[in-house]
Amino acid sequence: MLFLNLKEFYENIGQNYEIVLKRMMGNEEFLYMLLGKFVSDTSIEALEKAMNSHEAAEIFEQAHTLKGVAENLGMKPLYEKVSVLVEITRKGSVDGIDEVFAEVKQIYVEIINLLEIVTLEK
Amino acid sequence: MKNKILIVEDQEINRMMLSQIISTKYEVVEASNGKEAMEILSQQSSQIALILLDLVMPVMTGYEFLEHMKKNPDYDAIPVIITTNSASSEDELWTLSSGATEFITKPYQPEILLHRIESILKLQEATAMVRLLKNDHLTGLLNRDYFLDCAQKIKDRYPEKRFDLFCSNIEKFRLVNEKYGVEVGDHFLNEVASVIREELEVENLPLARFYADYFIGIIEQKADCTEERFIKLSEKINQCFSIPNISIKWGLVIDDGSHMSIEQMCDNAIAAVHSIKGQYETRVSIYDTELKEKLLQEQEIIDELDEALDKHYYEVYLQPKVKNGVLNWTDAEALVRCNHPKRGLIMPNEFIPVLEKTRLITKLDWYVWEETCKILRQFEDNGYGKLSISINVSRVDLYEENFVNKMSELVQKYHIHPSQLHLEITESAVVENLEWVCVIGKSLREKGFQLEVDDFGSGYSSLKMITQLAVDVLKLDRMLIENESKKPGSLQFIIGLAHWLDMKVVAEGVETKEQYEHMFAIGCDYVQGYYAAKPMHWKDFEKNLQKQKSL
Repeated sequence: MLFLNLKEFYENIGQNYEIVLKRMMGNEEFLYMLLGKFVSDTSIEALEKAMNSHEAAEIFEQAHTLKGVAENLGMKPLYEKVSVLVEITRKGSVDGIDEVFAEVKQIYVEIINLLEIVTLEK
Repeated sequence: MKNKILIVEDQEINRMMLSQIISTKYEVVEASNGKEAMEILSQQSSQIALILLDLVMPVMTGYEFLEHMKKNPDYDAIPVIITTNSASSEDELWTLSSGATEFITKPYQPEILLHRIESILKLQEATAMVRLLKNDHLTGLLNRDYFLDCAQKIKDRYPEKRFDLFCSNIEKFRLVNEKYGVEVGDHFLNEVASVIREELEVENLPLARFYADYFIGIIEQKADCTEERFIKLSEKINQCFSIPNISIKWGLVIDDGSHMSIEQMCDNAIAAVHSIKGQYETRVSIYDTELKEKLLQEQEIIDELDEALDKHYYEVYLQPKVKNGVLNWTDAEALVRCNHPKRGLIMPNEFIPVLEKTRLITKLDWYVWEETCKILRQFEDNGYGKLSISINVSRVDLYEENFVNKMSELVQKYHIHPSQLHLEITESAVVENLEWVCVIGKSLREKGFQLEVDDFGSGYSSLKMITQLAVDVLKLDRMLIENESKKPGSLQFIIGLAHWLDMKVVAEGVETKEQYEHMFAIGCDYVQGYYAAKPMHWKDFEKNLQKQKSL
């Protein structure tokens, strides 16, 4: 079975690993633990629920949250896509959000799949 | 100690990240929403040095939290850093205008975050030091020294303007603390401070809590009636707080352009507000030449007391009591006058209240008592027999150490029988501490002294009181005598009760023939008053004794 270390994971999603690690005060274990939290994090479900309501304000709020987490964890593609959603809904619009959300979800699933095989190398 | 940093963030991953970064240097407390954060603040606000706040949260958003906390004076000084996603300028504006100190954006960068926290805390510490130095910790108003400095600077900067100075004092404030506890007292002071601030802190003029319940401030002199303004303010404060018998009073110093120093103005305002202590109806006192003169004279009385006693400026006057319709010069009350070499004869109402305020009254009392003993000795030696003289005992005397023994020593010194001295204790002193007066009264009577209740019926005395306190004589207050003239009847019952309790009754302040005759008719044992005989110098009293003896 194929395994990825943290550095490889971030290379896979197009993010400079050193920058992310610096944010974690150089603590790999802590980063690994947070990534584990991200797998079970419910931000995406909350966003999906908000999407069903089709209320711009609600979607904005949840997208905003997911964006914050993604940004902190350096999940560049996810962060960039969610930002699009945030910017649309910030002005109260819902134009084209379903398409954007579909992309968000796709990226999210890809990241989760990658995270499944990330190990902490000694 | 303020050493904790409160992180308010609902997103667990973000919260953990912040916590991880910050815990390298500080102790961390976490809250997952605004409501939790408020609870933490209410329990340990004194330990929270700084708050990191997320704006978008369920239950209570960061916006709501910020609004709540900035309203609470206990928390509003705690710096807040907003943690936001790459902020829009709107957010930025809002957060800064609503009291946040700073904001940081995601992704979090440890060095920057820690550096920001450090510099904010340093600044905070410096500001806190300044606040501590210039502010009163309870009300947040200026403290005394800072006020004096500020007010003087303003006065100097605008020499063309006139600034009046006011000083408040809360009547019987001590009672609030005693009755309801210091916490309620402090709360009350705080509320009063905020009403005063609301009403008077205009154009950024300094306002201070001088000490205790004394608030002081300056206001620019305007055409509108200053006095009225303060009367209204008193009423407003009374409406806000329903603690009975509490009223706020004001002393005002009107700037007359004479360039009086702020410190001097403060002293005068305090003196002015003190001058109306106990006058229920008077709310405002303006410091003027009349008050100044009065205060100077009062100070003179205090300063000169020792000298005046040494030189016998204070002299005993005796007012005879008429027994059963006959003036036979056997009973009298000792009164005191001051025969001042410069000011002439000064009546007791001018010096007794002053001396009572300073407790110096005890000195004067002992002087009068000793003089009275000397007089009794002299009268006896001159062959006029053993007279009985009433002496006034001030309430502070009752709390003097060894009072009863000292009293015994005094009569022994002059070989006077204790029963010749009638100790008059005012009704108000009795009511104030009935239990203690009962104790003291009992031992005085055991030593042979006669005990009298003075001014009976002037205040809240009750018949119950005279059944509890064993005394020999009840002195009816002049008010009762006056009322009896208007509406006769009730006194007879009191006199009957007193007799039944084995007390003699003296009617005081009897000024007309009708009163005089009526008092004896309803059973009074003694009558004292201008109609029967005025107070006279004890030497004149002796002349009368002589005259009577030669009859």
